[in-house]
Amino acid sequence: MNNYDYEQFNSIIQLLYRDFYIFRQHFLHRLKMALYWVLITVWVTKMFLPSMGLINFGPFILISSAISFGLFVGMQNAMNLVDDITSNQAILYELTLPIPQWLIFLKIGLSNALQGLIISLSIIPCGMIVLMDPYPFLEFSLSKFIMIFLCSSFFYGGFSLILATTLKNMYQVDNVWLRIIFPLWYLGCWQFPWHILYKISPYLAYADLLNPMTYIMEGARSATINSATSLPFNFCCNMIILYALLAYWLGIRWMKKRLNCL
Amino acid sequence: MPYNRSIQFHVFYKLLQRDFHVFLSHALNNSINMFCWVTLSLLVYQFIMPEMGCVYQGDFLLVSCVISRAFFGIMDGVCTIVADLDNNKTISYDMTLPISHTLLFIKIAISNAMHACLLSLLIIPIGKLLLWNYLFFPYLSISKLLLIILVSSSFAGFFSLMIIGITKNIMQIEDVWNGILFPLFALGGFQFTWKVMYTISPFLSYLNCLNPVMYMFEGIRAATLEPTLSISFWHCCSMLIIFTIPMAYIGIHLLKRRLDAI
Repeated sequence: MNNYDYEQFNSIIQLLYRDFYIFRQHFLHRLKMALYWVLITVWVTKMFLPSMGLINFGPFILISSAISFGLFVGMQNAMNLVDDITSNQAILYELTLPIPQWLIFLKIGLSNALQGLIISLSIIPCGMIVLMDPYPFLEFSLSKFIMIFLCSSFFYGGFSLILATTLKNMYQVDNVWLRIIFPLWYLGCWQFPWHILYKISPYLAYADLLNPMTYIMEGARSATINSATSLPFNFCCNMIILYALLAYWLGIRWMKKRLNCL
Repeated sequence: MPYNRSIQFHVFYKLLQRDFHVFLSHALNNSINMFCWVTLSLLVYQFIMPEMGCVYQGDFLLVSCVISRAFFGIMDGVCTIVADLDNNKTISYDMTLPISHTLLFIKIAISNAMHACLLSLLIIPIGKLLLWNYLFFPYLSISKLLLIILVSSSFAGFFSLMIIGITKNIMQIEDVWNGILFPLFALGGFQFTWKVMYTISPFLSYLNCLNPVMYMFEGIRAATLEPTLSISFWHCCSMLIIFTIPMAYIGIHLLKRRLDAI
């Protein structure tokens, strides 16, 4: 690594460090907001859904909600980025630094990924308290658990760049939530396993394999509650990484176009 | 000096008319968003969840979606007004018109209620068109359905005044979603009935009687689904009206204080 490369690398690390300094100030508040949603959902699922036929569904919803929360963190960060682009344009300062501009966007993606990872992982112990079960995940594998959270967060980082380019201004927030995020998340097996969808309609199930969230949810369940009926773990990880690379490539390309970069 | 009553009502009517035109200009976009959300939720509940053992199907979810829209539909208006108070304060113009400030705030509540109500009316026809042969409402009473939507939207409209009163800036909207709206909605029985809650915990079910959203869900189920599922329709309507009165008083008081109104 020559001196110039080292300085670039150092600048990126410093920028990431700055992002984390800001994130640290808001972390507890953001976690609290995440917990409202996840804990109430898990509690309702544990308490009342068994009477409606969904027995022992709490751990399923907990792991699905925790692993998918990074997507929402990515969306929130994309909204902040778009708010900045359409108002103060503080991002222009970063783009004037002696670093290739694609690296700045990569840094934004990685920063979003790490923020999502920290919040998602923090949700799990709180959810376990609500479930009142010290071992809710019957087939828990720590290595697989860490691996799937890393892969999914890496994907969310890249996807947040795509969301930031899709969102032209803050008036379109609802459109992105309901037309992109909600279908991806809801059809991405948040509430049902992929094999049930396959039982109902193999065509739809195969079409659902185009949805990266399917691999994320199935991978997470494979690592925690049921590896036998979930999609194979390694296949899920490989597909998530493939989608993540595509998301970073497209996200950086579209961000450069949006901000008229070199 | 008090304004002439007929002038006040004329201004009130004209302002409502203006809001309605603004609503119409966004109606198509909002309808597409609503369509995405209702369609996906309905398909999952009708075809996938029963395979997992869930005893309630699409009809149960569809009527819950109507209330969700009537409740959450106010947030478009809330966001617009909070953003306006944060920046341009165009509401100052409305406050200079020959209309009492109390009546002006009642107009905001009615306008928000109208927006929430009109789109929620479309949900059952959309669901029925989508799943014609699967959805049946043998116990449907159209007059009761319209009444509960009207009463629920009115409550939500006055509730929106309280939210505007307590939301300091647009960045706090997310806190309102996660900290107030979602708990009321999820614990109010989007996915379960009050009777299910009562069987599991009578104490919690009585505590939930303080949640007005519970009466919205129970009321619409009483108007559309098997009557034994829910508590009495007229009880729900009466309780919603009782909740609306203090909500209107508190909302108007908070807004007056926030805007230094007379």
